[in-house]
Amino acid sequence: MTAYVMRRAGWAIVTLLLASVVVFIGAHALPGDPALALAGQEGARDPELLAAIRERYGLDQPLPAQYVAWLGQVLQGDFGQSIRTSLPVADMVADRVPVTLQLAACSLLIAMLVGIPIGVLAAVYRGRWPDHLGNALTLTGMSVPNFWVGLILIAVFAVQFGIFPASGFVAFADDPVANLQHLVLPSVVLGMGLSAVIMRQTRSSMVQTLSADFIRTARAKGLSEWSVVVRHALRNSLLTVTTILGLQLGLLIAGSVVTEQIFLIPGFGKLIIDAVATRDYPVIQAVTLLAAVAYIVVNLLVDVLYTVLNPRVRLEARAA
Amino acid sequence: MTPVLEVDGLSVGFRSDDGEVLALDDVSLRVEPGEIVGVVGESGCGKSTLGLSIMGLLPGSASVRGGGVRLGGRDLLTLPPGELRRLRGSEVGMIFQEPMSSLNPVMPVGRQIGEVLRRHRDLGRTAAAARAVELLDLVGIPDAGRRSRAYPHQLSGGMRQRVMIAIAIACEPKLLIADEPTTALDVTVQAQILDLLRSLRDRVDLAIMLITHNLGVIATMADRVSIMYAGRKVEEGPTRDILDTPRHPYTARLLASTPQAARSAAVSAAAGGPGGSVEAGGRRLAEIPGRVPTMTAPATACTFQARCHRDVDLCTRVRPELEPAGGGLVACFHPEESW
Amino acid sequence: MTAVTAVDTTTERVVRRRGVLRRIAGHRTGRIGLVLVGGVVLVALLAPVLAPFGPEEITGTPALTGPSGAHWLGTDELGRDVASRIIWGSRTSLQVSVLATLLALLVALPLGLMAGYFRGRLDTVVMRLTDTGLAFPFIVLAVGLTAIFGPSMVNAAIAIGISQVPMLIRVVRGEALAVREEDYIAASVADGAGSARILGRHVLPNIVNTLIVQVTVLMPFAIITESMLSFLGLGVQPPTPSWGVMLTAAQAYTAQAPWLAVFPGLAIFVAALGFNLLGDGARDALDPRRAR
Repeated sequence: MTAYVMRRAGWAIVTLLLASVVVFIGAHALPGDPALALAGQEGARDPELLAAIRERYGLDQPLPAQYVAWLGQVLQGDFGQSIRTSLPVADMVADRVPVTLQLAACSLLIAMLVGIPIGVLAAVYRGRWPDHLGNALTLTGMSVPNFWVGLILIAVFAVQFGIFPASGFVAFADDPVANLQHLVLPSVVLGMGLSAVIMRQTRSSMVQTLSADFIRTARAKGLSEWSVVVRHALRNSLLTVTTILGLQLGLLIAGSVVTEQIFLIPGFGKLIIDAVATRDYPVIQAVTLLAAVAYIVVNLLVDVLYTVLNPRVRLEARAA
Repeated sequence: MTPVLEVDGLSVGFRSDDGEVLALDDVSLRVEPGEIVGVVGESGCGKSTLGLSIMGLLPGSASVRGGGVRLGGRDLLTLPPGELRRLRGSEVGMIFQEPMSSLNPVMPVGRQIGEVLRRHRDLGRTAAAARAVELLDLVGIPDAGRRSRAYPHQLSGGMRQRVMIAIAIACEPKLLIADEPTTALDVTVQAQILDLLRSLRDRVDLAIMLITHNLGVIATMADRVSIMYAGRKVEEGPTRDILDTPRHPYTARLLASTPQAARSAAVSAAAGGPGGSVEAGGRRLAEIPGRVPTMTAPATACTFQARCHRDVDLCTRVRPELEPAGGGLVACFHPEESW
Repeated sequence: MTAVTAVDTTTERVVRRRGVLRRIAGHRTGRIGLVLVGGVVLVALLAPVLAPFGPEEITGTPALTGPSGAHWLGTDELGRDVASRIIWGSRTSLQVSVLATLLALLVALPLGLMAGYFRGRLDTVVMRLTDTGLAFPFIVLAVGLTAIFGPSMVNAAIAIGISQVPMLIRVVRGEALAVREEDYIAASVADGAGSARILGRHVLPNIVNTLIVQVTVLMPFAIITESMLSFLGLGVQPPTPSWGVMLTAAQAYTAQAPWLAVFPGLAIFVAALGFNLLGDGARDALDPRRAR
């Protein structure tokens, strides 16, 4: 098992390095001279200052050398300064990430609470009305633009009835109730697409598991249908559902960008949009790289978790 | 004495893409307490369907068309689902051909045994776990305490089948249905599992319905045997009679296609002789020319007629019913006179 | 003998494919999908005929007037006809989606085919790059591209197309790997056919079914993503009629003019749903293994 995890981690590091190269090259493909940006409007007309800045930030070095220097800084947690706010990019990101994490966790929770039971019912009553209903819900979830649902929810629940706040964010530590109130609508919006994915995956995985021999054994033991479906079938199926959740992180990040924009939540996604709108290149660079790192690391963790949870894979990994 | 199991004229049909298929056509069977009854036939003859319909585990595409199943005098077919579930695993247990896939891969085997005890015997978690270890010990698994915490993939095929047996007998049922219990196992392991089943019969007076295609297994195990063909029972009788003097041509061909060594071993075992070898009998019964017909309606002629070596006009027009012959029953207009 | 098999297999596949549309139409949800998609395409083609007003025409009716006989879906914040803008918007949506899908196919198809067919070092390199590409959430990619090239309709299409390349390469490669092992490939190699010929004549035709299904997955994704990027200001720019752009404007008037938010969203939903239903039908009709 350790060997498997090590090999898997090795590939993750290779992918991480490639991703950092892509981000670095991408940043250099951006229009505009960073020295000009750093010098500010006054300094831009001063060639000596520009040269000094270039030397100081190593901009006069060949690209590979610049890459190594940049990577070294990044590994120490130094992503430079924001052009817009002059704050260290690392601090800005650190402020935003917890907000997005809480939003993501809430929507994942909603998605699982909706997706898993319906997926299970669709599989158990395959070909009957719960299955058709589940399929209709999945198709709707995949076809409806979630930001539009966000607008409608705001119009109905915030503007019309005033049940939930329309936008903004309150930290949990400041006011737990207000924090949750602010999170309800965004979490529903973000969780919607995800619940469709989970529903579909749970259904197909359950259909497969329910035809397994050990399910027949469980029935032969006289266990209740609940026990057969939940304790025996679902337990096995959830393992596969876990693995696809990691792959949905991209969906979650994309969703958080647009959700945070609609609800004006100061999270990671809003940071991305704000950075692009103001061409804040150091922030764009950091945010892009961190998104890739998050994706790679989460998928590595999911793989490892899967091996730990699943005794079968554990054995195969040991044999390999 | 009430028989443990009485199957009376049972018919079971399947819906399929090509219309209705009759898997069981008017099949009757009796199992007395402590008796081992063999059910023999080629794959597709309906023997597994028979086992599953007794358990009430037929797939959704199947339905009972007629007849009855009584377990200890109670009619299973009219029982509400909840009551049937209470009988399953407690009054009747079942083990299957595939010990590899028949256990839940993500649950320790001790818990899988304990589960059935908690369900039917109201045992608590610790009591069930302790009893599970005893049961593992009973079915001959060494170091039972440690093994009860193992996952199925950590055990060999033979061990897994022992676990399956432990699950099936945990609540001391009166009847065990064993569907090809040794087919997927190594030859030596096969013999061990069969020994275990026999000793359970002797020790706890367990009745066993043994479904197999292997006449060698039947010879060493069964008191009585039923031969099935295309969803119908074609012959029945004490094992020794059937193996010595098969009356139905199908039985005769089955026996003839079994290698000579196995046959004599089988006969001597059936006669109470020493050491019946299961090994040589473990071949598929594929040597009879022709295919088993797929039945869509109750037969109107002899179902074996197309593959029978005799060509008699009567057999194509009228269905032979089971008639007493020797010590048993046979459904043939021209039973073999002698072997 | 093997050559005979080859002929049989290919002809059989071709015959099977001839009725793709008919078989999708025979499938219940597929039929609904065909109708919806056909409707959207028709609306886009006939926009000049169907739309009562020009897409950017200021009609003279006061801004933010509710639905009426003259303006079925009301007017927007500039007094433009919402129904007309939605009709014209279908063109934008389909243009971007088709362009993005074509682009994704154009890049992914040769790379995936070659990686799967030639294996070896090429395969390793392509797969590593694919993994790297997959690590970037498509929104990040779109944002990056917008940052580099500036927001526009074409750049949105490029961003959407490129973001789907890694996933598509994986699918194509997998199929190529499978087809590669078939007997008739070996027969063609034995006959002295070159790699290009084999890829074009044997491998490609055999993965067409998979590609059709993939396109029905890509299209709704592209439709929704275009509207989302445009909504965020990263895609189509006003005043060009785009469903996403219309929703951006609607955001400010959800209380006074809810129709501004409702109808463009419904248009996106219907278009995406049509392709998703079509995809379900295509999957069931073309791939018996995945039948529900």
